[in-house]
Amino acid sequence: MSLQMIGLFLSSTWETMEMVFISCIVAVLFGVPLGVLLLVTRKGHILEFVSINRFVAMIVNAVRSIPFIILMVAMTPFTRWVVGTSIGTVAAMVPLAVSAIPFFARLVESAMEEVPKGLIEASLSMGGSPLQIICYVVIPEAMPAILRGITLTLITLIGYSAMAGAIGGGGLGDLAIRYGYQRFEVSVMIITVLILIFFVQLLQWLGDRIALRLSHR
Amino acid sequence: MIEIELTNVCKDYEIQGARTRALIDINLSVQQGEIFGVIGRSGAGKSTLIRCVNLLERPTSGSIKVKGKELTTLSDRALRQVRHQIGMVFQHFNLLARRDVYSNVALPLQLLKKSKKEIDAAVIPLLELTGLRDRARVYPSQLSGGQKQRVAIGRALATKPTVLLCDEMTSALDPETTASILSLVKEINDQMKLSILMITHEMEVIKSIADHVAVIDQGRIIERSDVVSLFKHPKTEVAKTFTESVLGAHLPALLQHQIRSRPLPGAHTIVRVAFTGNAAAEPVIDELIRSCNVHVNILQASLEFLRSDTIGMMIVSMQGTPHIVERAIKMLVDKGLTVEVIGYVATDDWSFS
Repeated sequence: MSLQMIGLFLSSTWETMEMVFISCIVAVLFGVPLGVLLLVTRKGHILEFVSINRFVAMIVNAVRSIPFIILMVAMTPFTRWVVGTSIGTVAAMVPLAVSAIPFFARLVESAMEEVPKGLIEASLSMGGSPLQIICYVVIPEAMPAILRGITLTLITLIGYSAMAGAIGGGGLGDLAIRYGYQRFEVSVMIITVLILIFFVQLLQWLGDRIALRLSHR
Repeated sequence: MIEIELTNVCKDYEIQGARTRALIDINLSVQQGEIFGVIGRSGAGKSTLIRCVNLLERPTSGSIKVKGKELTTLSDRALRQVRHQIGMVFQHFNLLARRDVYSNVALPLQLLKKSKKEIDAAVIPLLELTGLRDRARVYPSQLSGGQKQRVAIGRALATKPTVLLCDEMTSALDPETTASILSLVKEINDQMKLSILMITHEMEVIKSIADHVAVIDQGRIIERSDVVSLFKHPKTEVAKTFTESVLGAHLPALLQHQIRSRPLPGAHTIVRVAFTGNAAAEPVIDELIRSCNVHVNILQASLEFLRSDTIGMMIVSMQGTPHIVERAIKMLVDKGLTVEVIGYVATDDWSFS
């Protein structure tokens, strides 16, 4: 294999990591508050506000139902407005993050839903405010599950990032399509897939380990 | 002084259009420093009752006062301030799995934004008190049920409340652990002059530590007295069932089938005798046989030591002419014993050995 090819693999791997991790960080930053909102504004919960809950849930569902490839294209003006360009790795991060936010928000919501009701009740009886209960009790107790959600989001983003090639986003998926698929270079395809498999395995293993360490069960 | 006062508290639930009345006209007051127990079967409304006290559930109507302050009209913020002064312990402990023992006890103080130093100063004596000093850095999953409840008690006391609410505190624990938790609660009650309201379905709990007791059934308080009186003269069927569960004052099973409500010539009269305090030490039966010339057979007897009194319960059969039996009963009553004729068993049926 040529040196040029090795260089291409390295830069593609780096691009994938860039896209996946940065968009995941954005998804976490927006997804956690959104997930909290989805949970605590439910009927009978600590900050009951049913109309807000319905509204947020509707938006979340709407974004989640748009196929990623369409979302990416449709978002072009927004992407240009946010990062100044609509092509390249950085431009791909915007639709990746936008599609990951509602996905991760739902994961956060269900992670926190698993926190026993009794704990919330106990914290209410101690005189905790809703914000305190979220920060001191619900989020910390849901942390292992939230972490598993981050792992899942990262892995899902790796899959989606392959489509970012369509707007010149680069990355391993793009490499596999352009060299492996369109130029019939089977070896490139196989190596790309192997790198992706390795990546996913590593992330899952790491995520599980940290979640287990956090859970204290 | 009255620490907790509920006046005409009602709580209705609406489940799919159907209204259920969980609490009906509850009136109850807990004096400063006493342990007040509410006992009831499951579904009687006792959980709803205790959760109304700190407004975890809002009553539909009625007034709730803690330390003289009406809670139902308070703003959320003011209510939180009051809740800092009310500790609560739950059946299922409700500890945070991802916090160790120390941090669990420290949680209410963190909610009050106390400094590390203040938290340390409050938590360590509580760990000492609850016997968990050496377990401070252990996580709840590694603790036994009894230890978990000790942590929960420590946590409930962290803000130095004057009132403690206990919701089926010992129901998830085995009898031995229950006893140790109860003695801890009693110790706290004595040391800190804490007023305690607890609900339970176990008479054993009421017997060992309560001063006053209320019996709740189908959302109503149907009986209320001090604990000794409840054991001596339970007025309602529910209260009787509860006291009998502790005193072991049931009839032997076989006799239950043979018992009749009307006297027969020559039949055995079955009598339940309850006695307290000094009467327990007197040779009553001996005197009964000598002076009344009645045949007495003890079918069932037990002696229970309550907090401030001793209570005994006996089921005896008496045989003799109606006149003799009547005199014997009168003699017992004169001695200050509580006597109740349960029924009569014909002599030919008398074979339960």
